[in-house]
Amino acid sequence: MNSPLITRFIFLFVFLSLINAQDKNGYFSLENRLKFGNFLFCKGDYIRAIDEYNFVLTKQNNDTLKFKIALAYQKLERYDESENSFKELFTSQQFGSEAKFEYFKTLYLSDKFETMHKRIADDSFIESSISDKLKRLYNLKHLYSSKSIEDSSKFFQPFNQNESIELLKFYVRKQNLDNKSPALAAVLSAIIPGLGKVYTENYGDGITAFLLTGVLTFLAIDNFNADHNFRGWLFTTLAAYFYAGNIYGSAASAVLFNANVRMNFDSDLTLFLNKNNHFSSNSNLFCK
Amino acid sequence: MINKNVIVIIFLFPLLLFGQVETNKWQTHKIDYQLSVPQKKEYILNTANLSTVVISSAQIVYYSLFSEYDGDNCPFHPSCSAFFVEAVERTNILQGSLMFADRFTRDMNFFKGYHSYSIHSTGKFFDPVYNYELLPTKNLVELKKSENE
Repeated sequence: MNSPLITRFIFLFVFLSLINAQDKNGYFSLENRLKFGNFLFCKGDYIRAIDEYNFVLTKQNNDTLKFKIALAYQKLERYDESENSFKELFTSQQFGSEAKFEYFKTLYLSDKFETMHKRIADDSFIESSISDKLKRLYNLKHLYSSKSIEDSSKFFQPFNQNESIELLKFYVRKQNLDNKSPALAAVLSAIIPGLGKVYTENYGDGITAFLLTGVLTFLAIDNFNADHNFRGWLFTTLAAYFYAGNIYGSAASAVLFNANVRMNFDSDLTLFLNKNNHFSSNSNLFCK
Repeated sequence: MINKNVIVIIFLFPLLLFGQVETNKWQTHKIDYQLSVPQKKEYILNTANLSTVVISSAQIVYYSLFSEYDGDNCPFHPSCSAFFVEAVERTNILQGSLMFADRFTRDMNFFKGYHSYSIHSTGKFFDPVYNYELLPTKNLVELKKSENE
């Protein structure tokens, strides 16, 4: 009775299933996986982009994809893998010089400044197109160094006027970092307990040290006056112990303060340089 | 002859199975609001040198007589007693004792807060020993950076 209707249903299901199967083949075609990889790369999903690119590379050789994989590793801060991937592209006609520059940039980003310096000196095949960019990177590393920059004119030479103006703020800040002297902090705490801590801007610790040493000293004097010599000496020992501890702690506090100042500077500089892509952009090469 | 309804069901049934997979994603998730306390007191004698043997013995006595009953009240990680033992181990008995006196003073500071210390996974103020070893700034910065990572 209903057989024509059921037959139509069956045909409909079979037909739809075939369409679906056809679509799935299309979804996972080499071209679509490449497109998807490019999409992921530009969206910053580098791990999945690498997976897609690696799949495409199993079917065809493609230097662009190898370069993008190396860039992706660099973005993921997997610097060892990035270095090796860029090294493989040194002989590439299309990406040889860029790969070399990005290789040095990877060394710079992974704080291997000495290796970077040595490799640049050893490499006699650095093209003029990337030597300026390398000079920039090389000079930028001086901002991270704890030593002061001696010749400012040489430092700013590879940068254009706008870049120099922006970097000048960090240059001036580095020259005038608000460091505290550990020796001065210790001397101040030796004169008045807690004053060294106040100098290093730990006001609560300074007041506490002053009160603690003061109370213990008062107790020692009070007990000596009352002829309680044992308790007098006990509180004298404790007062002397915390007094000495505070002198040491003030010096340590100054060292810690300086480390925090240095870290804040490095952090601000890294944020700024990342924002400006270290004045040597390549990431927008593939993404609009 | 095969019943045609059976054929229809065969086609429909796999679709329902796939549908079931999707709905599994939206199941309710059991959440445990209890704070995890990964830190446990270790009654181990530190035998790095003679000073640490003495200090860690005192620490074990302190743990057994006071800390076990008083509870986990030190606001810092590592705790003051653990800080003392580690400070003596990393430096020497004199410097370690001075570091402990300074730590004890900081512990008594009522105004200490989140602006001064980072927060450890235990929920306590993170105050490691190396911060107070008077290390060169470069080394201390590297240690603090690795701590952040």
